[in-house]
Amino acid sequence: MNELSLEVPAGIVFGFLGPNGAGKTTTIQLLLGLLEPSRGRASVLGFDTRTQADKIRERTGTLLEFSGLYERMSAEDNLDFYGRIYQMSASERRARIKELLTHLDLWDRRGERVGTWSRGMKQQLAVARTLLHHPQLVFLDEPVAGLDPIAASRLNNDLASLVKHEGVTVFMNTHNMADQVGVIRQGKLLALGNPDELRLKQGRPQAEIYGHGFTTRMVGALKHQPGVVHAEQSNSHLSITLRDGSDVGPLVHLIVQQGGVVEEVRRGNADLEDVFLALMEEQRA
Amino acid sequence: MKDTSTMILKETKELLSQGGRTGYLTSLVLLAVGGVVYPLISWSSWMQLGSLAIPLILFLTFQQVVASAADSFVGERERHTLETLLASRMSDRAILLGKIGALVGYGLGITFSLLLLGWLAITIVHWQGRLVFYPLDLLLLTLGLGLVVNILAASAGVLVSLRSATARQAQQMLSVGGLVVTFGVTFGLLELTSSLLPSVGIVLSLAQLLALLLGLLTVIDIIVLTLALVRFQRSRLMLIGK
Repeated sequence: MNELSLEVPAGIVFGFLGPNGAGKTTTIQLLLGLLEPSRGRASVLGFDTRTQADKIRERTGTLLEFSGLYERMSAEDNLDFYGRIYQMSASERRARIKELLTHLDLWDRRGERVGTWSRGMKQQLAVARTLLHHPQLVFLDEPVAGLDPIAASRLNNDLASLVKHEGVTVFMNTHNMADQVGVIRQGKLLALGNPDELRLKQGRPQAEIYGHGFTTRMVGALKHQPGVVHAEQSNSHLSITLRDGSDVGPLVHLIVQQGGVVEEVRRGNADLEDVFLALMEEQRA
Repeated sequence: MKDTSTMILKETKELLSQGGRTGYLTSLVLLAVGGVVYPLISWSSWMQLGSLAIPLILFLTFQQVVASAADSFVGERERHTLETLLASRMSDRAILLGKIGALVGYGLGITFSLLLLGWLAITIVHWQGRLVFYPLDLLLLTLGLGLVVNILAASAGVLVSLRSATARQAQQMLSVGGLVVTFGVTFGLLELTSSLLPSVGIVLSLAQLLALLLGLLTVIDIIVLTLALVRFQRSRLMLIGK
């Protein structure tokens, strides 16, 4: 970490973005008091991470880089163990485990050993464990990393519905569902704000041109236009990144001139991933 | 205390399921050889808890506990469950004592099983017309020794596991260490009872010798256990292997 200073308001989903090795996981470990900072200070829920880490861990739920599930134990036993850790009574544990596993469609499989489950199911169970004891704040370290697109989408939906249902503050190392985003590189905060603001502030205008007859020569010609930052062809459309204030009309004209047929033109701002890439490029430069 | 018992419960579940079918088979072979075959071969000395009976029981228990203890922390780290456990509210002391407690319970289970199986097998095969039991003083000393040996194996195993980068490294260190301790104690006691003490006119009975060993191991247990408690630190554990 390098003079990283940020404040996350209660009740929001905060997304922490950055390339591999940027310090996202280290930040979570520092905030949980699992690592000690060489200097500086941080507080979570009003508690100091150095001296009151036990109080922080009492009030938070965590899903770190790995699911952290005991694979030789059943799904129910895994949750029961963590329920005991957080001193929930037997009846509380039973009710809460049933509520969460039913919500995630895992209740009928609660007696199965976790080791036999798919990665997606394990992550779902880990999310249930994270929320089991009604924490005030949850830390999620790239919860959908390594999942196939279907499992990732399902987990994102589960997370979104559970977070809304539980009304919990979330600090996660991904931008899905985030109300506020922080972008970090080499331990330094590059940008902070809500995703729409960042898109407007940092993202360049985009044009998506749909049609047919697009050629490599045409893409090359587009790249040499003064208002174009980048152009590429993907399947049946052209993606063009524009400079601020550039007009898309001359580009359409060029395409038609070169024999292309334009059926639809969409304009908009870059998505958050493009913003992230732009920030990385800026910082590198 | 409640946290420690939560850890003991979870660790016991994990210990009993470790190794799957192979693990159960290994335990079965150990109990069959140490608790049935050997006692039947030397049944008269076994019933007196003489000859190799007590060393065999303690050695088998020690080996089993130390092998499982090697896996306690480094195994959790390799299976990626340690970090999540450390991120929970469980205190350092409860995690450590829970792990040691489960291992000691597991070891005592083996000690009890070996004694019970041996007694049952001999009673059935060599029926004397009446029930014969182990000498009470030696039985109590064996159980006491079982306890301190298990605490030593568990604490030393956990201590090594805390500092090792891989489970394999921990197991290798503990195998070598276990052999050195076993042979050291055995030959040390033999030397003590056969030459050193007789040379100054002291002759110890088996019960006195075992009581001496019990006292010695209790002191070592306290030292190793304290060391493990001091050495256990979340932030250090997080940095190992990084």
